[in-house]
Amino acid sequence: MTYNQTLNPSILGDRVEILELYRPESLRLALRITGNPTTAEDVVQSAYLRLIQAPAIPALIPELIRYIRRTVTNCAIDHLRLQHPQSALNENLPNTENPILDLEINQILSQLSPEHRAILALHLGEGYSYKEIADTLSIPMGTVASRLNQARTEFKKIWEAK
Amino acid sequence: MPLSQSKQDRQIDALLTDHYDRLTHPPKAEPEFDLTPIFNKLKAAVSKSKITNRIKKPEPQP
Repeated sequence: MTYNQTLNPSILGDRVEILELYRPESLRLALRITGNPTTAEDVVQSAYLRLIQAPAIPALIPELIRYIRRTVTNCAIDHLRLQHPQSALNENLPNTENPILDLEINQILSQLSPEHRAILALHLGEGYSYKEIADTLSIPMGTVASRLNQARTEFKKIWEAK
Repeated sequence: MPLSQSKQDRQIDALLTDHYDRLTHPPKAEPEFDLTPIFNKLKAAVSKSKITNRIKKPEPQP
């Protein structure tokens, strides 16, 4: 992502422009957390609405990126909380190279808590380190490690039981 | 952590990493079957047979 350094996040027009530049990354993150392209679009829409309406957002680029990432992650978690846990079972085959396996994995992930799904997507999908996740979600690194371990154990348990 | 458990964890990590990768990189659409090479071969065969026919054409009897 390249920013025009003259863009000022406190000016609405500039803020929209910055957010649009980051949209592909936001969509990718939302898709990895939710596992569904339509839900990912909805998540990014609500996250961007929050970001546009926020009274102030960080002016420095690295902080701003973390802020966008955190908002998208929180919106995805909120969406998953509202979603019926069984809804993933009625989903169509995803458009991937291995749709049957990916549907099966999506169905297992849908049984995990939204926080666990988010931490798996951030670490294994986006490749963020414990420190980056801790900074993004404003939680201690120890919490990242234990949440990740719990998420993995839970996934493994369901995967092995099927 | 026992070694076998950490190995299992790595397998789960690899399974999920591949899954996240596939989710965000949908397969490219299959290209439509291109009949052009076959058509060209047929065309070449037909024109070749015309030449052969022309060569083999019996000369008119006097």
